[in-house]
Amino acid sequence: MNAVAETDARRGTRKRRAPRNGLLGGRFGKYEGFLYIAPLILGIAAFQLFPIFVSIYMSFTQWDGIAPPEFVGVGNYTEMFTGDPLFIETLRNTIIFTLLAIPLTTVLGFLLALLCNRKLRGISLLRAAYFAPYITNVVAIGYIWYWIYNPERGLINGLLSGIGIDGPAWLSSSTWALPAVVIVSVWQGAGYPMVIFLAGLQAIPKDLYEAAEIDGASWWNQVRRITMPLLTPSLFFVLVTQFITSFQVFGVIYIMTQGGPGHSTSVYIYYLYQTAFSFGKLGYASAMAWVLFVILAIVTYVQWRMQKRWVFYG
Amino acid sequence: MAASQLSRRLFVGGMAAMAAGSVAGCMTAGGGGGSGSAGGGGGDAKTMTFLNDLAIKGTPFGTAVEAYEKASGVKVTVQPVPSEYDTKFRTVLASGVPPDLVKINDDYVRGISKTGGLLDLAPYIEKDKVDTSKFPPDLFNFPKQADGQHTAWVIAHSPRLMFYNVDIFKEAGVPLPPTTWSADNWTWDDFLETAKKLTIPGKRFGALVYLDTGFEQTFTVNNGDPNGIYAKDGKTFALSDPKSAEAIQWATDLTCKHKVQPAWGDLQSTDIDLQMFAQGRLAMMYRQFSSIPYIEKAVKGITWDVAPPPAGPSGQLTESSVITYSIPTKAKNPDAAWELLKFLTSKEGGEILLKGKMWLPMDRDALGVLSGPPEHVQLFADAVEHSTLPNQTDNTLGARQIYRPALDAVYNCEKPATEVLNAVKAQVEKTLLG
Repeated sequence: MNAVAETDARRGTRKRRAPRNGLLGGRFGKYEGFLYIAPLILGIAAFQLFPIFVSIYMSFTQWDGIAPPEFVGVGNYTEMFTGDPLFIETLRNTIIFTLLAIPLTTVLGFLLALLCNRKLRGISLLRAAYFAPYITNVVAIGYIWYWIYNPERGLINGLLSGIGIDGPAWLSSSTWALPAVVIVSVWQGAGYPMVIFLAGLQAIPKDLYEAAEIDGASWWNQVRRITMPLLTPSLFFVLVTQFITSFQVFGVIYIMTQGGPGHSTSVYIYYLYQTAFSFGKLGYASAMAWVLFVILAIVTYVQWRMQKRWVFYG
Repeated sequence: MAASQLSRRLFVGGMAAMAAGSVAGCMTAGGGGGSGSAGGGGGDAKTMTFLNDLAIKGTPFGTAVEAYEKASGVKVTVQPVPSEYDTKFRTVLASGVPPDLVKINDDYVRGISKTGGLLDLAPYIEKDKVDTSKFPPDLFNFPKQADGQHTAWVIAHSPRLMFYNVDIFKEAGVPLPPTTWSADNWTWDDFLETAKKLTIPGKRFGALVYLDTGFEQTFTVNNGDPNGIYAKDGKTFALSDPKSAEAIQWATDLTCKHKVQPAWGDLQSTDIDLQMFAQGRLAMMYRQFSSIPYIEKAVKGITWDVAPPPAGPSGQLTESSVITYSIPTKAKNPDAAWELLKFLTSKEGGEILLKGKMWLPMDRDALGVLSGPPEHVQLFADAVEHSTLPNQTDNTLGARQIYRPALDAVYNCEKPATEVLNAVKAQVEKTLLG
């Protein structure tokens, strides 16, 4: 029997020793992996899990951040739905904002993606231009649009007066303020779905279109029968992420309207922020944050379950 | 593998417990060593920190602080927070490691005092035998709480008057407003008539009253509601009372009915009223003393002056904005902070503030350096005798967040003041309870 065969013969009977080249040898060697991930676990525990648990606890208290918290049970939650008309109003505004912003952003993103999915000179520049607002600072965007909407010296009313139309006081009108903010949000946000759809479009095999063309399918039929079904995974992703971001809109509102006029543009996160830092009701704000989490979780779950019905994964 | 899984759970749980323990430790370990009485809090006596809503370098306030540093040898480190100051203010108080001195919105004083977050200055006032007889009593007693604690210090104030463009008056052939605190030819009706004569549609507006929030208290009190915005108990929203709502409506009608005041929607840019005034597009505006430096700088080739607010059916008072500072209970160096406060309300400190026309000083001996322009600048000093201050509540800011946005509908000429103010009354009063 040669040496190799001898070794093979022994393999079944002899126990292999654990390697001794780790930090922890012997009995503790199997825990060595934990040692490596300990800093990460510590970080997550200290900066994510702990605040989450504190936030849950705080949502059951009345706390101004200065005096010690006072336990009030589910008082904050019942107050929200039965004794705080402003909460209901901001929730309603947020839903309206979401219902307006998501379809508009998605459709505009899709159209821009179709537009940019061509082999033209300078197309990269065009793509970058459409995507630029998405990565531009919201404060800068807010101020630019604040000027655009200025009723006296703004660009929009200037153009409208040029054709004899007396434009509204956009951001000061309780009728126009929310639509005005939605327009800004759509203009800023369309670059993101555009990139997602563009990636989806470029993943669609060209031979499908060639075959359709040979069969005499029109451009619109190609879009309807090939592009749209094969883009449903991208669309699904866009809708899920858009819903979450729309429901958490804050920056544009904060910069442009501060929730006004009246409370016509006061949205959920802005009201949450005000509740915490202007009214000093941190317990109530924590409860609002958890209600928002539940709303987003439910809607995302429903979206996830519904995808089976309409998302086509090829 | 059960044993191994159990070990993993134990390990992760242990780590989480350690993290929680360490964070909880951090939360309880913070805090300063404020004494809560006159006598020091264990900080470094030669340095102090100071949270302010504006950068002070190059301002009269900065000059006053530098003068204090020179005189005392204490180094003052200012932490300016030019935006969202109230948020930062709450955060530093909640942190347990606050600065030694904080600017405090006067509407917060009562509410924050209740939390025990502000140091009682009464022992300091007593110990140093501060001569408060030189201070306007209303303003000095403003931060005094029901239990006798003096939880803030008014360092200065900024009364409101009617600024007007003399040239426009002369051009329109309209008699100038009174140069003393007089109601002669200066009632609300006279004011409206004057504004009408000064207005040129599409080119110039005669008056602007409702942009400065100080009009709420001033005009309601002058219309016969002694409470102003809130009743003395701090729990009743008096702005919805008939007399008060009538005053709000009167000011709004200058726009909606008489067209002598700019539309609310056109006034939403910062300092737009000052710009319009400087450009000759606005003849009169209700504004604070602290507006003078801007007007002096921006208004070229125009003669301008100030007049008292028009007299309402029941009086001719005006609201002063009070500039208040507090020492947090947990401040490390409350003594140095107190010395700075004392300096700012001394004759020397007050004169520095007044020379720069930043605010009116508390010490009346410092008023000697008050000088024009405007020609009748003395009216500001006299405003102390014609002063009204809103009653304090536990949650003025919370109340404002409800009724002021609601008033947009009034100012936009969409709804009457009575309807809007009555609609929010219950909610405001619920908020006032804290």
